[in-house]
Amino acid sequence: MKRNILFRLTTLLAVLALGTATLFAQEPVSGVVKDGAGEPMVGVSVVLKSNYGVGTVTSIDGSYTISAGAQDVLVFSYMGMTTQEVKVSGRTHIDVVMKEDASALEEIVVVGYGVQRKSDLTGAVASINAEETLKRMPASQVGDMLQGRVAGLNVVNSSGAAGSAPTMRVRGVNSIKADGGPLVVIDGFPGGNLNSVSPSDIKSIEILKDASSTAIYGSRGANGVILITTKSPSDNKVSVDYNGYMGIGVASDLPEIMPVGEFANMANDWNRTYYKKTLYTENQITNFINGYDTFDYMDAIVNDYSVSQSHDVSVKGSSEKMRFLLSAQYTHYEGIIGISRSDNLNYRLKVDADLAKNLTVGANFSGRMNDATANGFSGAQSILTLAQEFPQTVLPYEILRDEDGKPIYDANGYTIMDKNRPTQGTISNSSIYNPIGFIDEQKRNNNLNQTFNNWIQAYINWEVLPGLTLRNEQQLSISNQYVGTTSSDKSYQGSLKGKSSATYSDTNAWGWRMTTTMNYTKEFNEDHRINATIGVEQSLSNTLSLALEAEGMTTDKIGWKNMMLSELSKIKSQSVSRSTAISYFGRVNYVLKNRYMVTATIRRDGSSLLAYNNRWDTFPSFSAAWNIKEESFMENVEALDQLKLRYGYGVSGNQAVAAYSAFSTYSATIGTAGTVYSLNIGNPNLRWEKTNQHNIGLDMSLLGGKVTLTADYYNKTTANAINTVILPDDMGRSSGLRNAATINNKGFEATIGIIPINTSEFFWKADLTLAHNEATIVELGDIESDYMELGTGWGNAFYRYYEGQPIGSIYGLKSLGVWTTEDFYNPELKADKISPKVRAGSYRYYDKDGNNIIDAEDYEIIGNGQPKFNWGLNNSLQWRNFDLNVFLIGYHGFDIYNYPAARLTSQLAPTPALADRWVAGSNEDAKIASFGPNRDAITSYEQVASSTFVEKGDFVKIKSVTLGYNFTDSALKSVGIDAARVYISAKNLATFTGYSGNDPEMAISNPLRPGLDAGVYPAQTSFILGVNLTF
Amino acid sequence: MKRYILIALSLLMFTSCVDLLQEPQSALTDQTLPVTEQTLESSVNGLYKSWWGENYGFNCRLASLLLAGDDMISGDAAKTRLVLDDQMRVPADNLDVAPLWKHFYATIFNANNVISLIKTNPSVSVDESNKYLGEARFMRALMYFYIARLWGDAPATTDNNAAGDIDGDETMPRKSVKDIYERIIVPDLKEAALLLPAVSRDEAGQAPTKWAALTMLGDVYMHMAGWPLHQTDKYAEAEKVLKQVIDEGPHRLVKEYKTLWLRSGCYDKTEHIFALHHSLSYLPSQYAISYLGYEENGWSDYAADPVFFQNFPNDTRKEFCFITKTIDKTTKKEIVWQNFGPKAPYIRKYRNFGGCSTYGIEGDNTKNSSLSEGITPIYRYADVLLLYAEASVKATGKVSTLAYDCINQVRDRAFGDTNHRLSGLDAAEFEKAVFDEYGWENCFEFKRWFQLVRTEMVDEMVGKNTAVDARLNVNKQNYLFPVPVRQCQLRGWTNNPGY
Repeated sequence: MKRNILFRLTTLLAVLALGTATLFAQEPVSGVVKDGAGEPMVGVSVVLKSNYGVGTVTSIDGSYTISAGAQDVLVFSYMGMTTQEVKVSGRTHIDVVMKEDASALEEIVVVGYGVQRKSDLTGAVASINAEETLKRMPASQVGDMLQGRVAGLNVVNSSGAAGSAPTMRVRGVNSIKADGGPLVVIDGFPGGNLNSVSPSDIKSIEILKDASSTAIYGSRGANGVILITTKSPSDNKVSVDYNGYMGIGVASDLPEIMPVGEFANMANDWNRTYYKKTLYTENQITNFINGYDTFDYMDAIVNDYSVSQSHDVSVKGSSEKMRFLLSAQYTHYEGIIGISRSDNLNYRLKVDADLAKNLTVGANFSGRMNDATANGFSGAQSILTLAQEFPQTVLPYEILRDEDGKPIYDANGYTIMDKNRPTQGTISNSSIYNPIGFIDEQKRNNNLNQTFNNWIQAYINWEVLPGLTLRNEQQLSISNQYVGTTSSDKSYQGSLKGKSSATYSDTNAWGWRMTTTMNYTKEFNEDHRINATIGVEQSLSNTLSLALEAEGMTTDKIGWKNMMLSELSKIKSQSVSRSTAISYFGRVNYVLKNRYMVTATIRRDGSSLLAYNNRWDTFPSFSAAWNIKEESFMENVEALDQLKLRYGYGVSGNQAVAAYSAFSTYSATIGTAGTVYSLNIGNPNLRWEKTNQHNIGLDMSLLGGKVTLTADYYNKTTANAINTVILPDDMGRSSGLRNAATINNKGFEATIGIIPINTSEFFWKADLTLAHNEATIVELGDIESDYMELGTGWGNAFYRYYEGQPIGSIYGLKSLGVWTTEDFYNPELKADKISPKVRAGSYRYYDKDGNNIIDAEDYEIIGNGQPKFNWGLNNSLQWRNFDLNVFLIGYHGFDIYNYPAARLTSQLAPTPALADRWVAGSNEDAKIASFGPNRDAITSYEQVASSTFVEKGDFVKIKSVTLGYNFTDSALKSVGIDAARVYISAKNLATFTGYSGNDPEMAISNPLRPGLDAGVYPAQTSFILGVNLTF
Repeated sequence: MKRYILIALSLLMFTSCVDLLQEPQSALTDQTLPVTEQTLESSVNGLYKSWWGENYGFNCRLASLLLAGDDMISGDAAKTRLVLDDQMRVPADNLDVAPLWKHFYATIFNANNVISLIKTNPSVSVDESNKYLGEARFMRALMYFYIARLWGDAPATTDNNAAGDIDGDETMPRKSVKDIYERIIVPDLKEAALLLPAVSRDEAGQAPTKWAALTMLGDVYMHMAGWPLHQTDKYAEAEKVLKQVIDEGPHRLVKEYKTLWLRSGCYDKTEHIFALHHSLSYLPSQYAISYLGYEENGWSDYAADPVFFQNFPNDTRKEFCFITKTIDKTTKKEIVWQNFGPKAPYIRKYRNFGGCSTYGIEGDNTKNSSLSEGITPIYRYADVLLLYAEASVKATGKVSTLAYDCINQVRDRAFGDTNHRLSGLDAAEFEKAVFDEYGWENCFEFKRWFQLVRTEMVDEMVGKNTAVDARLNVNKQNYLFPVPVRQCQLRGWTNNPGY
């Protein structure tokens, strides 16, 4: 009986994950399940064979009740026991005796380079039952499935654009330069792409969170690991599944625009204060108000609705010696703003064959095609921000005029726009290109952006002796990307040079990886078992890329498709690179008396990316667990099903640099008079980033599985984090790679599952994930300053990394509001001495160093964008054939720098915030300064943040609500359908936040500079109708 | 037997075969660069690219910063950055100083690398390598000359790895202006004058000649003689080298002033001694549109100073350089400069090829673009004449015939006749005349500010247009710009006074 108890936690988890018991309005069938010794078994899964989603779990006394039709077949399963199928045949009482399964004693989980009994796990590993999750919230991408489901796996949407993938991070910020999210391992092959897997092909997802689990991946494990196992059919039949949905969406929240009349008056005020003249006559303003000569940009960039659809078909089957899975998924999106489209195709063929009793071979061929096009949506060229910026009084195109320059009017008295001549420039700043021009250009120019990824994988598995297996895996990966753009002379690019241009680039990469492992699993007796693995892995990857550019295209219609048809075409860049890696690793897992378990791993990695002298490093780990419930003193604690304590420590790494970073190279450019060289300096001193992590965890299950808890505390430190740091220019270049910082992440995470109601008619389960993480810069390394920047890219100027400060510190000037008349003339405040000059109605900043000069010396922390706490709550309810799922997420304790607001209020833009600007005598408490010279000491909103535009970002979102219905009618059978489910789902239903700008979730999608609202593609609220069919 | 084969195969699977030593396959490194005339040429050509920097690089940033002079004003009261540049209230974190500093030092680094390549690779014959060595030293001197004039004391390195400064100090302290002039700029230019060919190696005329080196050396001496070093003995040195350029050099004034900025004339080497040339596809400038007013569909970044305009003599230069009336793009009606947005004339000098639609002076009238072609003139023969005239009078206290001849050559060309020749002036009057003539001749060419500083005339001249509201009379603190604030932090320097 001991073993049964030992397995309880995992069984419960598995069963709960499988979902849940719904009883059909059919005849109830009940009974008791016992083991071979006659003891009642708790937690045995009982499901209908016709619909695995319908089922229950045996209670403490081994009893169960399930509604089943007279023709149904009940499936009884339990880890380590042989699964039994029992025909109901009209009976109402069925007792079952479970027999131990000699071949599969245990529920096994996938761990790095092998499998382990789930109960023997010593690290922090979270498992997700993909099928069940997908049912709760339809998703065409794996990333969407994972949001809010795993404590410590932070999944945040970065954009509402068609097909955009969310940002994923395991336990905070582990690296700066290599902040690329977790390593993805699909069916044992590392380096996969989450977008290349159809969610419905996935059987299970394991997330390795702590270093004791990821250290086996050595230099690639520091960002956590996501292990994906695709489905492998086991029953001797062929089945066909179809899952599909279609959805439409509307923009969740759009910025407001000032009414045109109000704007025209404001424009006059602007011109009076700066240029001492008015811009619009009363007549013109009346005309604007009446709808003449105005244009609603926001309305014009937003589409009526977005479209999304996903279809996947899979065929799977098995015979005694062969198993196969063939699947394809097609998804299509059209976005809500501008031109935004994405088509994606995933495909997979997986075959396993038993050549002999001890010899298995298999192959896995999978791939992805993506074809996308979209308008730009970041920072300065976001068409969302441009639509808020562009005055409605400036038309998107030049109007037709007669020879004297007088406008030509149509029959209704409207001016006529010449669609071939887009407007460049607003009233106040000519360098802005109008957003409609961007959309036109996107429509016109047949741009190409296609990506192809293919993976060809094969393995051979040989059981040399009982318990000793040798496995060799080979992987070939091939990827190709083709990007072609044509920009007409009317486009933004064209406006730079006054002529059309085109670019074309292709990047082709191929890689090879071979992994050989030897595994030894042995149970010496009930008290001792061992599971040991050693392995060697080696890989090489090659990238070849070529980029061409041309200007003065003979015809835009051909454009990039033949760049010789141009005034000038040349090679923009070309590169060939190769990198290699070799790894040796080993792991031992030892379990004593089912109570005490230890795991130790070691990996030694060599990589060609770093300087030759720094190429090798070693990554060890150790972890232990104590299954307290197995102790004799716990035997009588009835309410407690499971209690396990875990501790682990490990080191993982990051080779976070591009190939050849150690070398100083000459880059070549083709100039007017031949090739031109410039020298770029490498850093031969770069070392591996290394992350040390401690993890303490607890797994608990109470009241027969009605309450489960997994909680972990971790503390990890990444030393030698590599960053592109700003260097003194006198060194010859302004930035370079350095081992620049030590980063610490400390956090607590918990996953709580509660089943408040579990009756024959009604079932309710709530899963709550809670996570707190604090990422801090502990110290700065190879950098000559008391702080560092993230690099030189857009938006990084608002962030600084100081020793001891949390990541996400927003730096800038602390605003004291706007100078009131009274304060300005208060001699004690010496406003007339301040430089740059101020006046009443200017922005007022805190002069930190008290020298009356407002400048970079006065910057301080004005906010922090790193959320302190986040949670996800999933409620699954089932009532008869209906299932309802409500999923919420929340992020709390962070600030957002509202860049769009800072930008829009710095100029003459139709943003309603400007209506509330400072007015002498009447609106002196205003947040926004009045117009006129000396308005602002901040000379660029692109460079310097003001606390005026820093806001609290906390939010709660209803992420999805899904209502499904399972058809169980035997009528389905007659048309050959085994199971069917239809559902409707609403995504992004509502956001509750005090933040005044765009979707706050997107502002935290970049973990290195969280809390920056860059005016990205807005989120959509979408409504989906879908169906799951099994034939 | 079968078992042994399997075991052998298994062992094979555990062996590794990839090589962890990977070297760049498609890029040259210090070790693999073959030092030949061709690669030296490519490396030296790279100096112009790093100097130009980027679209908003050298010529844009220098133009903005030197709004401080009395010839240009900012074209829009709402453009804070340019207004502050104009007022000499440049914030320490200003967006104009940082790119300039960066591009100058990047060019110095690359020049040091070229010099080191040549010195450590004797495989290239001296005949071939000398011109590149001279050019690299010329470019290094030019960069340090800008640095010394804009910021004063600054780090000074000639090491190809930038590992230490001229005294081997790894902390790179700001070296005195005196050190920079005496230990880098002057020796570099003297050497360059010996190494560089008399005729540019480059058809387009971008590469400097020995005459360019001597002209710059003359200009350098003028600066050493003026503020802040006041080494007045350098006037005589300047007189000497500039006279050499006049006597021995091939350069002369072209007949018509305006042709210097036209497509037909900008590559002509009669008068242009050294210039940065731009093309749309390589090192473009963003000139044209910055100089167009809003009424002309431009950006209205810069306009002519109306006071400077009013004091400008009525000659062909004034006629060419200033836009006093234009056609409003919307009303299609003519407006005069008093009604332009900035209430000042616009600048014509850079409205050359392309980019300006109908507001350009030549080229394609239909195109309106942000980037343009054209020329950033650094030295013209007119500089040689006027600098010589100034050096001569300041060195000797007397006005020589040659000095009169120099200034009168410039005036004859400017007025298109010989009726405006100067004569009979005393030394002080002549100095004043040369001072003004230099300003007019070189207006909007990013030279006036440096002239005002070395002659300590900033407050007097800039103060003439009170509407600018410039920062004046602050112990000459406004003579230098702030060192980019991040550079001060990274190196622990104290910034220039007043910032």
